[in-house]
Amino acid sequence: MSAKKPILDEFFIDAVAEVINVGMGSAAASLSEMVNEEVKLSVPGVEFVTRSDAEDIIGNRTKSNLSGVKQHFDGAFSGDAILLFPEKQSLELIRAVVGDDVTLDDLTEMEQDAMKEIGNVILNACLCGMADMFGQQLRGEIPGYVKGTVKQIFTSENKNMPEQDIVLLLKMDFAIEQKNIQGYVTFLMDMASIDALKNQIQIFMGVE
Amino acid sequence: MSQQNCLIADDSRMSRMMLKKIISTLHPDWQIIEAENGEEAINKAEGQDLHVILLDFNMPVMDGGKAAEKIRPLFPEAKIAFLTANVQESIQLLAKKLQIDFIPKPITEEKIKQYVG
Repeated sequence: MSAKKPILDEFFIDAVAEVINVGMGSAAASLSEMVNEEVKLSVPGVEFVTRSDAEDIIGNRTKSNLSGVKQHFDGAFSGDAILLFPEKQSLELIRAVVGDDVTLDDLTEMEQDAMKEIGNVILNACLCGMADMFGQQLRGEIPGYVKGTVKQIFTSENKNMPEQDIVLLLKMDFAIEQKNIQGYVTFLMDMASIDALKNQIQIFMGVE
Repeated sequence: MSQQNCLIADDSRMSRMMLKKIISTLHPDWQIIEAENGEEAINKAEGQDLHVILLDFNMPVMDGGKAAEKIRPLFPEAKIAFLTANVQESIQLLAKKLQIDFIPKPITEEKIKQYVG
């Protein structure tokens, strides 16, 4: 992946990583409350890549199908926030949230709904943290359940978005108890939104 | 003591299930009414004597903010709160303006116990 050329300057990437870290800190706290134990969450990678490169990156890291939640947001900047987990790990995560007293049948039946709610809490923690940091508002739509290959997930409802548009890709590692549940958060944004985000960061840092 | 009634409006079945389980354990005699969106919450609130109302904010059809605007004047004595993952300051300010409380998601037994008593 290192062969991919950087598309945005280092300062901006560093600033975004810092903003995202604040949001993800809230997300970790929320998830910890949900599973009632310590959640170790790190954001080891923040990259701006094209959508097609993001598909390759996640596809290479995760061979299986993915499931997760997609939430459109708009306001000071807009896009789709997507939380993804390898499909096999999603039931483990749901089990950790709803507890052991739910049968496997019930768990499977409520998988989509539970994943939407987990995504709702995690993505909102991140988005709200960013909005408050900038003193702006972000309106989030109702989150939707997504499933399939990363390409299918990225392109559904985004067919008009050029493949070369930019994706803010975060690699987010969750560690819950003995389970090593690894997830990804991505923000799918077009160039105009990336510029709007950049502008917010510049205002926030006083470097207009 | 008269029958206590609680209305839960949340589009997530999991959230409603968790809330119902927590509240029923704390107060087995309470009647719990469920709604999947703000509009349904208003319809189901009609004619009821509600004591506790928990509203998610982001819901399809009608959000919790619009529902609270209509429900608050109908139940001036009830404990009403947004119970939402949308923890932005703007939503917390809206709760204040509507004279309702704000409980940030995720749902935990401790938070619900503290609120419903």
